[in-house]
Amino acid sequence: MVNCKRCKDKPIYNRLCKSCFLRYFEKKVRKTIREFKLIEKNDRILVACSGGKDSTSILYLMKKIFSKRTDLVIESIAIDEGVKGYRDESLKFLKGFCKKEKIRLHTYSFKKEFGRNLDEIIKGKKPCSICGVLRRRLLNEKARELKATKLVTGHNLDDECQSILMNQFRRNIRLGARLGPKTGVLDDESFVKRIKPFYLMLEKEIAVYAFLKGFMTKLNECPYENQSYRSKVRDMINEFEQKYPGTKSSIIASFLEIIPFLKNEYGSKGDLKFCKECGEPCSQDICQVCNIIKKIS
Amino acid sequence: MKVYIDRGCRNVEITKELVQDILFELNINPTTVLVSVNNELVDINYKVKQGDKVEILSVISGG
Repeated sequence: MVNCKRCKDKPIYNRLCKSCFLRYFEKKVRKTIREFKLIEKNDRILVACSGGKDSTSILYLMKKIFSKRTDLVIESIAIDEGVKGYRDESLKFLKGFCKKEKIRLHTYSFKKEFGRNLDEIIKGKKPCSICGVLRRRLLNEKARELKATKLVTGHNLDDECQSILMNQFRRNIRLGARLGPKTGVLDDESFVKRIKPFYLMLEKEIAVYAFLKGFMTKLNECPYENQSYRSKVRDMINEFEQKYPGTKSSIIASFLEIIPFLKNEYGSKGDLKFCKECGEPCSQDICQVCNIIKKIS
Repeated sequence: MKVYIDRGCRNVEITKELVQDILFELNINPTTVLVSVNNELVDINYKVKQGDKVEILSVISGG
């Protein structure tokens, strides 16, 4: 058997043993936060959590990394979309985790905010795009209400690769300007900046970390997940990564070179409008959320 | 020997010993799973033994 490349102990992932992997992982996340200047003095940080491995790991790490920073406030926010047998289970885990770690958790639901849960809303429609639009709206709106200055998400390198290619495949280049480790094209008080400390971490690395820390619970996967366009793109990228290791990192490295041009091209405040019905920021006269609500009522 | 695959919650019979070969035999992409033997993570060069509790855990989560 091949030993750990750093200490000769038993390897568990990519020729690293448990303790060397944990050190490597946490160091890389710290470096990402530093390099992209994700956290600033006096930030009020809200971590968007689902109870899954990515968001639980980032919530745990944000608290660990910034435990001595008295100028920062770290709390979490969860959205209950109302997917029976899935979200109820993961939220139960998250509530227990936050209680144990003494982290304040704010929970909001589709049912209370939009009048219906996701299971009732989708009926024959594309669930992931609807869910994504409604969830992003609630996260931004509630983060603003809670006076957060940063909204942390568990998005990882795999997620970002998928988004980059999906935008290419669908000729949505403009949307690329909204990606990156610190998202948002516009600096406007109606948007809470979203940051991704796992931007350079592979999904598999996060799973290893979550497993070692006991966050990799055997929860059900979202029943709608495999219906998505994203899942097809994800499978394709994973196949490429297996055949040509380093593909995912190359996609991200290339994108990081392009993103300043995208932000420059599409970052004009002139494109920002406010929905005529709800007043929330959007790019059309009526926002996507109001359009969805109209269709389902 | 049998291994448990969490995606689909099923047990399958395998003939190989090396984790890398087991995944190949089951047509599973190694970038998408973790493999645990007796509740501990192992890398793809690990050789399983008779009586080991082998689990293949998907790293992909939606939502």
